Amino acid sequence: MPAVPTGGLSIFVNIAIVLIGYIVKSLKKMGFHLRSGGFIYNLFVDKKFDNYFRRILGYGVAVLLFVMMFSVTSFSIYKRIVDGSNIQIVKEQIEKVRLAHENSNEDQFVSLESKGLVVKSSSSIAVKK
Amino acid sequence: MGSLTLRRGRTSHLAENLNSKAFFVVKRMESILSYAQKIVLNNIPKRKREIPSTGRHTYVINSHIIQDEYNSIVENPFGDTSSNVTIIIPCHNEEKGIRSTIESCLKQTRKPLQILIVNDGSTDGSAKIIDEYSNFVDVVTISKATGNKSFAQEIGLKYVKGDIFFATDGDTILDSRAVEEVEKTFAKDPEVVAVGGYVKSLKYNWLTACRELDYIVGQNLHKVAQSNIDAVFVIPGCAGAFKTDIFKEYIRFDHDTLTEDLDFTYKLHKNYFKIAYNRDVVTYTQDPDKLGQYINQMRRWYGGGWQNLKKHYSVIGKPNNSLQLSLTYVEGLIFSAALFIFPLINIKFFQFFLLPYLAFLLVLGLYGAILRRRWDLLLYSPTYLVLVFVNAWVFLEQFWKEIVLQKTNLVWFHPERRENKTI
Repeated sequence: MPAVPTGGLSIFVNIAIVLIGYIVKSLKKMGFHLRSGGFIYNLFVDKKFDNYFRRILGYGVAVLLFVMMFSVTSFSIYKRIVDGSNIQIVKEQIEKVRLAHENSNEDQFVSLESKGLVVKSSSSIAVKK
Repeated sequence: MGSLTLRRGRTSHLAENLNSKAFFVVKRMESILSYAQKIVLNNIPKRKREIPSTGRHTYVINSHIIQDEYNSIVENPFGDTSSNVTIIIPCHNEEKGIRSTIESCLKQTRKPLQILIVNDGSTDGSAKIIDEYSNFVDVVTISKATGNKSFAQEIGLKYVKGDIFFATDGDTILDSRAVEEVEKTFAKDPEVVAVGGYVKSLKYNWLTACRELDYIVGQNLHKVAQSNIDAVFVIPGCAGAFKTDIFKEYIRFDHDTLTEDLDFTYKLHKNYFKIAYNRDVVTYTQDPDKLGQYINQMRRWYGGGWQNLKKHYSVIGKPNNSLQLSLTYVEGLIFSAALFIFPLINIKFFQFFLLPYLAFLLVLGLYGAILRRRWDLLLYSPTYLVLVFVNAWVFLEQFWKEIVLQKTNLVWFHPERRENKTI
């Protein structure tokens, strides 16, 4: 199965795991033994730690990652809605067109026309789709 | 032979500078040399014809080409003793690829004990091609197609003679050292019950190039990280080796998911069996070259992924598995949804997001081009942006069908095959 769609988090986390693995292997070769690190590692992988605490930890990791990613994405989308969303951009452009029409300000109209935002017809000004 | 060719070339060169009479003499000399060359070549002693018996099988050579290839196996550094590995190849309408698959099995540096082909009701010329190799392979023929690879594998498993079996596909080419590396991995650590290999995509067009980029990231980064914390989550269906007795007792075939390889791997995790990942067990596979077929394949893979997660959800109870599965499925789900929601919210922000993604793809393409010596990977890397959307859509679609609507699809998709171009 190929990589599923990723925004980059799995790539960064797995790069970190690969690097830590490389460092640990190098340290072992040099004669160092990280006993506390070994305990944490075993807590994740060893069968003897297969108890309720570890299961809670396992499900906790999944829930934590879900909540974290969901929060970040939701906040990001919310921020876009509040600040400079598509709706906001459209509103601003409609307001400019309205002002141009009301004031018959030819310069302003030409400026908008040059951007391709409005087209001139015989009777009115229409927002270009 | 080489020296004769050289002399001919020299006389031809001289002939250009001689008058017509001398030219005639030289041409005559050339024809004599050519005749002499034929005589010499026809009298070179032929290579050894007799292939020694392995004790279980006596091979009889029919084809001249296979004779040469097989001799190279006999002359391998391990002598003529065979390994304890059975290669099992399910085959359903694989006439375009099965020949190269069988020949790659015959070219192994370490001779497999048995090459077992399960002809799963093929209606094309597969059976005829398999018959050509009947002296080298064991064939199990199923008269009517079972419709799912795992059925064919299950039937084939009954006839496996090796202590280890190597599962591959009818469109896959094995690297010549694949069996040797499988044996080494099992010998190195007796606790290992299964070995996941390294899959490369056969070069064809932009879609296969993009798939190769997927494989590079998946197998050079994700799988290495998963291996570091004992959480390898896919033993590829075309490059996986298992201990036969443990497989028969604990794994078995359920036929209730679309991706049997994921099913095996989850079961191994649930039973605390050790899975090794060896990047030297290399296989080359055909991937879809048309977008429609690519989408269908992704539907099967992602659909099978959700089915297996639903079936084996308890594997999340282990933190290492939980971390990797969350990174795969939770991030995949949220990112896929965001990919379609963001353009609706703010097109400008979306544009800014795409640019770094494109830069990442170019860097990946360059890395792939250097790693594989395939410059098409760099050339086609920007087109992967299209597939990001395709993958995201199919991922969401399959989540909706399999998890939300609970509609389980078990119809196997069989992509169109093509002649293998290059490795």
